Amino acid sequence: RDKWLHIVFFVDCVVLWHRRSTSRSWCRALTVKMDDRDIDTAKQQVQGQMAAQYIQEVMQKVTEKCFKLCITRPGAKLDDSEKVCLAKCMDRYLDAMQVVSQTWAARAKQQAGLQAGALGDGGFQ
Amino acid sequence: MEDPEPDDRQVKDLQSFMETEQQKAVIQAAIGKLTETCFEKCITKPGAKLDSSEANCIANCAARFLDSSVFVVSRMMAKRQQ
Repeated sequence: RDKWLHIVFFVDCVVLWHRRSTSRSWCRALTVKMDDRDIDTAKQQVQGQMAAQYIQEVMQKVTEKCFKLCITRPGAKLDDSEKVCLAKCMDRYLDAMQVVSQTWAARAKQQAGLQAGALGDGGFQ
Repeated sequence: MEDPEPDDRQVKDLQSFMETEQQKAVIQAAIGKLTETCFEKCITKPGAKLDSSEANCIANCAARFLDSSVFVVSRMMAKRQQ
């Protein structure tokens, strides 16, 4: 249907806009043809695509780091000990990501508190 | 049927949505990069779980990286004012 084609173009346009590969006027022209419900659907698809992209990037990094750690002498195939090492490495990498996220969040909260204090808000809400 | 006028409300809504998504993406990328750096520094032999020394190392690594970033920026700005 015509409507779904617009949503597909719209999602592509928004993703490209995010990557700075296209101009806003192109996306703007597409919003003209869409009602609010279509735009909500499209937003969900954009979020889905960005999440999928992010996961892909993480997997690439994990593969790189864990290959380096676990495959020291490449053989004719992946042996069991290498697979076990890769599995542990992946899981620890995700644990590490958790720790980093928590550290980041704590720092962000601290910064927000400092800024509020500086503005005379009295600190944390 | 004529094309309807461009809807400013929709465009503004879309702009704010995109700004939020972009901010999210920037933070996710930073956390991703930090994880990569600190994993390399702190985890030499992946075990069955993250032991406390590894977890501390990663938390310190992330915090010190952020401190370093602040340090570099403020010193650079000071230099530019000289």
